[in-house]
Amino acid sequence: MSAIQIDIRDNVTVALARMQAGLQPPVVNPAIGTAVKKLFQDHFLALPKNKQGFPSTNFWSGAARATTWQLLAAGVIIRVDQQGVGYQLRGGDLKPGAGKTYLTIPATAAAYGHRAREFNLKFAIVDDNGFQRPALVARRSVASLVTQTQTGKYKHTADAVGEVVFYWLVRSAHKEPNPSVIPSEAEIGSTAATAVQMKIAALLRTGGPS
Amino acid sequence: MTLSIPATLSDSARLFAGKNLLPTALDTAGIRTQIAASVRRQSLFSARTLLEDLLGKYKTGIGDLLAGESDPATARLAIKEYFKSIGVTPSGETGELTDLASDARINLVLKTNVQLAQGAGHLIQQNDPAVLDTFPALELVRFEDRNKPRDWEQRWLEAARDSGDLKAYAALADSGRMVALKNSPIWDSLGSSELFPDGLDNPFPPFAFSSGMWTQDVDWDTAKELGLLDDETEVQPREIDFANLFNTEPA
Repeated sequence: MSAIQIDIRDNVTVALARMQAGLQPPVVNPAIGTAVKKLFQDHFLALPKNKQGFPSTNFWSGAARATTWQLLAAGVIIRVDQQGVGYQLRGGDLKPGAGKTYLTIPATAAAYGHRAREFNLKFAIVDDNGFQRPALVARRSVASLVTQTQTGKYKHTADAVGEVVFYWLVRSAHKEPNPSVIPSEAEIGSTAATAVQMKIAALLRTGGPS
Repeated sequence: MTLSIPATLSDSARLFAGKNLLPTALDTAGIRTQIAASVRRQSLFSARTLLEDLLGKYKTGIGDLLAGESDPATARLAIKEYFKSIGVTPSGETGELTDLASDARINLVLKTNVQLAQGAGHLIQQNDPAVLDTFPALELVRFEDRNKPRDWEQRWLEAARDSGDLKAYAALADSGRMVALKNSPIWDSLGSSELFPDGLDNPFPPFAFSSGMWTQDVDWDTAKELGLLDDETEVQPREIDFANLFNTEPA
């Protein structure tokens, strides 16, 4: 009986080559980027709104929309193109800009999410529970106290000014780093690994790029 | 994990940078009926805004927002200071959208244009051929609450009927989720002003003015569970006519 020999190496080689091509970084990294982007977006959307309870400026949903992935020669990065996210993450010291003396801290809902120059405000020193604090205030009303003298004439005695503090003024501010504003390294790693597994599953379905 | 500041513009920022200024005296309805959607996508305009300087200020502000180099309050202040410099003040009704100098109008122009550029950038990434075999579908989800939300589920069903995507229709009916394949024509119908008067005529979010909805990628297994495909399906990328969709070719 003649022996037979079936050579399947060429078919295997081709299949393996296709699988290998399908697992190259330029092919896998977009899937990783997509998965990790969604991880970041979901994380941002779940973050609590501002501590003061002011009407939301939708900062974190904006960060979610500003989140994309980008391929690099060495891999893939996640970028969040929204000012302020880095400061929330890393913290640090804030000082007034050039030519300015104070930073503004919103004291009322109307001020939150606005620049002080959008309003017609006055500088004032305000008593805040016994502390005299610099502030920017909106003067809403002025009531004049008029008293009658013994001669029967009226004279202006005092003014009571109705003020609303829009911003407290501070010379600097410090924020502690808050790593919880982005997913943990473990979550990112796990998500990336899952994306690679999904890519492998896709390659097994399709046989890899032709 | 390394954290750093991006050195290059995102796709969204690049796409927006290529837009031309389009001064127009038309109102919103007139813009929609008299200026083709493809021209609108390639232009920066605002209803009844003929001042090219104003559009230029908006372009700068929006570009800075997209690059992460400014914030909405600073961008709005720059526009308000421009109006002040030319002697224009708000009429007093700060919620009036037809008042070019009102906070409401300025916020709408800034926010809508930023989000449109972001939506376009996401469309490009979502349809990267290297992604389709792992994330072949998109889900319409709520990113922001609204006091008076639109009935997006009803709009989804109408868009599914209009586009003929019965699987997307069934996905919502069966699972409560608004999911469709990335190359589904439902993404054109969802923003169609012929179907929905407040539609923005783009196949990417925001699909309507001041919408809090956005899209997110959906993985293969989930798309399969929802009945959108099976293991034999080969998902083709959505055809994107960049010449008519954007003014700038992607990198």
